[in-house]
Amino acid sequence: MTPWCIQATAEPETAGGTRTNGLWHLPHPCNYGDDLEGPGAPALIPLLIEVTMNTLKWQAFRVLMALSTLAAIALVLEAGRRW
Amino acid sequence: MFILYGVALGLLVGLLAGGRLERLGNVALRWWPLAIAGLVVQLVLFSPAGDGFPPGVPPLLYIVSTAAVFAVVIRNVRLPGLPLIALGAGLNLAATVANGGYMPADPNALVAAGRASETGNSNSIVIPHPVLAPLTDIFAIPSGVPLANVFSIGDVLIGIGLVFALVAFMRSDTWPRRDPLVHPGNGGA
Repeated sequence: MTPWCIQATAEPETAGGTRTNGLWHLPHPCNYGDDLEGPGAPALIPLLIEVTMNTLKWQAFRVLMALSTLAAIALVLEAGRRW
Repeated sequence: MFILYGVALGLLVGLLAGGRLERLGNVALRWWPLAIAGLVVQLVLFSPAGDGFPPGVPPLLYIVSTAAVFAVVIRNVRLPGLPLIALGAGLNLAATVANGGYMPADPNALVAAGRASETGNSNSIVIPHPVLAPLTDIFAIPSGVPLANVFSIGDVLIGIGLVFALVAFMRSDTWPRRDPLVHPGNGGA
């Protein structure tokens, strides 16, 4: 993603985009996976989903690992008996 | 398993104290895979699958996996709550070693927890006069309550340490804390 595409997909209205049937259309091609070519209509929703998921999944994974590790430590040191 | 209440309580207190769940992702727990591996070994050991091990293997696996997890605690002992977890683990270990590798359970506590008649791999036993009796499983979460079980004072310390750790981690951006004087922006001076 070019910086312009990142900015434009985050704020399509500011970037001069127009909205048709709920979908944003940007003035320049900015398609998911292809910054230079395409019909010009950005696949905004998949892109936003991917960006959001990439952000969330790593943080969520890290949170989950921290919690799992602490729980594992407590369970092992507590247990060895009658689970 | 009652110690999982500590996880829930820690998260609840952490949120009520203004902490944020996502900050747990910033915690740098060293050697964490060892802790997960230790738990996996013990899950197998104390499941029906553990009955298939040759004699002598379960105690060995138990000791090795517990020692591995204890090493993780010691490695991270500078983190908040971890010293308390280490102390609780030490008390449990003392009671276990003093009683020949088993954690004695009070018969009344076992009855209260509804676990008096269970069988299978366990390092929990009932003996007439346990050594270091106050450190053994003399407490119980009564049957009917989820995760009902017997527990020791060491378990209580582990649970409190867990709550402390979670609350501290949720309230601060970075653990372990970095020295504020050492910063890339000022040349580390």
